[in-house]
Amino acid sequence: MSVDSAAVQKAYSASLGGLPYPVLADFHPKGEMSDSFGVYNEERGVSKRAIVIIDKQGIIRFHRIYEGELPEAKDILQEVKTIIARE
Amino acid sequence: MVSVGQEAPDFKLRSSTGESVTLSQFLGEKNVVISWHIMSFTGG
Repeated sequence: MSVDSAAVQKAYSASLGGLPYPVLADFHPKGEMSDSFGVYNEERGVSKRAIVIIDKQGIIRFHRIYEGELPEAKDILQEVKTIIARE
Repeated sequence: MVSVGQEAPDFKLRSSTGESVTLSQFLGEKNVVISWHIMSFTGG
């Protein structure tokens, strides 16, 4: 997700072959949801690169901002597996 | 500022599918992974 509009996200998803999950648009009011998660870059008017994992009870189990690096998919998958193992 | 162990703030956002997505729709049903990128179509 990002602060781009839903129309942009639709085109973006399609350009990547049709992503199997929704790409969310934090577009209007811009960045409001990102800000509520502490991942909005007020100065640049865009979200930060970040991953947040929320469990079935609505509790945040993982929250990380990535600056100058990319999240590793295998690390995120491991976090999810750890959460599932504790259910 | 939210942090690990806290309740996530609910949201309702439009999406690429044309439908709105809320966090609360997954409560009791699914774990949710949210991935933010900086801007679409920028490599960021």
